[in-house]
Amino acid sequence: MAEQILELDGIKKSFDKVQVLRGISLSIRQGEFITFLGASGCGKTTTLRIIAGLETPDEGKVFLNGKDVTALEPNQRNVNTVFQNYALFPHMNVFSNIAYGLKLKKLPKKEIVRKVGEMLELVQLPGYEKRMPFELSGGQKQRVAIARAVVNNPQVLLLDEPLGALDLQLRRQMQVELKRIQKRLKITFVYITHDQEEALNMSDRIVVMDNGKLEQVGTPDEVYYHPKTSYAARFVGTANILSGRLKKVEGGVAWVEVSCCPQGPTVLVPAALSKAQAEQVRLGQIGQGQQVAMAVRSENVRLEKEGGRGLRLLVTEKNFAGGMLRVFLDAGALGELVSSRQGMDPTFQAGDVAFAHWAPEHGVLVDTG
Amino acid sequence: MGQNTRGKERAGWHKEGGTGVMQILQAAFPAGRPPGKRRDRWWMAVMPFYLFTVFFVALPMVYLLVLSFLTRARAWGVVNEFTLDNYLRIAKPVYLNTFKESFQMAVLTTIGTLLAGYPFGYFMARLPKRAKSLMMLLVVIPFWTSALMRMYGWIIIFRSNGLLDKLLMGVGLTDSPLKLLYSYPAVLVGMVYSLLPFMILSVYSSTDKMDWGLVEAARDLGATKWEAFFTITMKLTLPGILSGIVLVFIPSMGLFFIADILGGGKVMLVGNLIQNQLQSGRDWPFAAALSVVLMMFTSVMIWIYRKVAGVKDLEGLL
Repeated sequence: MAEQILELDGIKKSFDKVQVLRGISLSIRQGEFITFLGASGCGKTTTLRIIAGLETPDEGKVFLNGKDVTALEPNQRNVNTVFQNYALFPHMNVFSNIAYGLKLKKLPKKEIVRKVGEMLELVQLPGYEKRMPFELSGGQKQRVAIARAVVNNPQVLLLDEPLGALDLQLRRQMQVELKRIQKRLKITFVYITHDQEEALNMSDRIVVMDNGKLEQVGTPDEVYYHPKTSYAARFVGTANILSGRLKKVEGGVAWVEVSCCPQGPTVLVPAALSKAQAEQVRLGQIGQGQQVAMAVRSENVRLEKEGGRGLRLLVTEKNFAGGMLRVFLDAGALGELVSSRQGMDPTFQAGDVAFAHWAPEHGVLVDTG
Repeated sequence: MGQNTRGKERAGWHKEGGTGVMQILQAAFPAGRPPGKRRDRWWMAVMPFYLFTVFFVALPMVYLLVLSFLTRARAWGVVNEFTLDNYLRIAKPVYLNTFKESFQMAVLTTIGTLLAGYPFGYFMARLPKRAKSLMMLLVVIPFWTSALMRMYGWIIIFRSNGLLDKLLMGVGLTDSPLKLLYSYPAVLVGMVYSLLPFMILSVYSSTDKMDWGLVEAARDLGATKWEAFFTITMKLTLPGILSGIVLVFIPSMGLFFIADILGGGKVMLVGNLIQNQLQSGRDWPFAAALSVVLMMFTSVMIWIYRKVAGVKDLEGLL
């Protein structure tokens, strides 16, 4: 395992008696692209500001390269930030903006010119030295903001929803570019977003945050296919969440008894157990009759006509967008169930009865603690 | 709204953040009129303002200018005889010296208001919202009382065995009265005191507009608190500093009653000179010439301000 560059140890923070962070602990490896993913207000920006030194945690410690930096001022940490609104200095041209950190370090003029030139090359804005921030487009401002932070060669680069203000096309393009810059400079990126696609596309690891807590930390694959909590499952890739009672465990598959459907009787739905969960079952930490929830992604929910298997549900709505057909089903007390597939399908119309089922390996047991 | 904005720009009316005549008109006559007609008739709405300006600003100035080239009558009034004597008289050392003293006083006053007003305006802008409006009220309240009255207040403080003397002697900093009243420092304090609100409000308004995220960005890039202040905050509040300087400097060249009341006739500024010539000297043409020169001088100062601040019109002052 690579060297730890940044460590958060039990970070807690409150603003006006409202607890924003409830104990964040996390290790980040050198050269990693790690993304904090969560809805607005989940505490991800506060976490970033604490790493940058712009906020002081009430409890807990921040270690940078093994050194406790919790009490250090922002200018004493080798960490730089790309701010959400870019925060370019409006009274300085592009050159002076990028050179700002270097001038403070009193580097020789020649070296500053060379480094700024290199950075503009890197962010593909060569020759823009003399432009003022107000003359730049959103995408160009973003590039300058990145160059201004990266030129200081930080140990960790913090990015606070850097692409939030850009349109979709530009955002996709910048995603690729950020990834390229990160690979080339081998700087650790701590990235913040509420956009799951961005997180899944760019990250080595994703940190799903909710309500000041870490919900799950894992690779994009892990978070997508094996969400630990219903929040993570719902936030990453919009999964259906069904809660019920654990009925039995057979051959690594948990069968969850759910009662939702108009026809009355309860139905068993399958969910595969992760290794850890299988261990918990073996130790009796997860037992029969326990309240659990399971998640299944809409693309894995298959629908059949009358006489099929699984949950008997009523089709409420069909929606076609982006080459995907989404069929919305009324799952009674469980809420709404969504099934999606590529292309159109004439089989079901609103008002039809459909049977929903899925393969055991597509179900995930969540919220088991 | 969109159409309205476009119309403003076309007519060259749109000036950001200004509170000029055109903005008032915009508020008084919002969009909604047929676009064809508004172009033909908008001057009718502007007419009263032009008339006002002609009668109360332009004509008095012309009168002043004409007066300054006329000759003083022997007993009282003016004789219609063209002369340049009034201007030549200003070149005399005694009068030039008055201009020099006034300029010196104005510079010191400006420095004084800047030193006291910048920190005040800066911290005021950083207060929580409610404390901010309270402070604003406290800064503005003195305007509700007569400036003359407030100067007499200073007499009570400055006079021999007055409040200040008593305080200083009580604390033991001095054991005899300082005789501050009717001295140069007393006039300076009075000037700084009366013009301070203009500096405070100018600095406040530009500090209040500051994006503090920029200071955080500077700190993040390695700046200490002071480095961030000098490279970011001060640069971005410079327009406020400059407009404060103009708003303080120009009136302080012309104010006469402060020097009268707190200087006791010992301090002679251009304003006093003009007043003397007008009242006791009864030399209207010379007073007019002095006024014209003072006006030209302040115009040059405003011109320099516009060059430095890069502001196109005087609305940028506030």
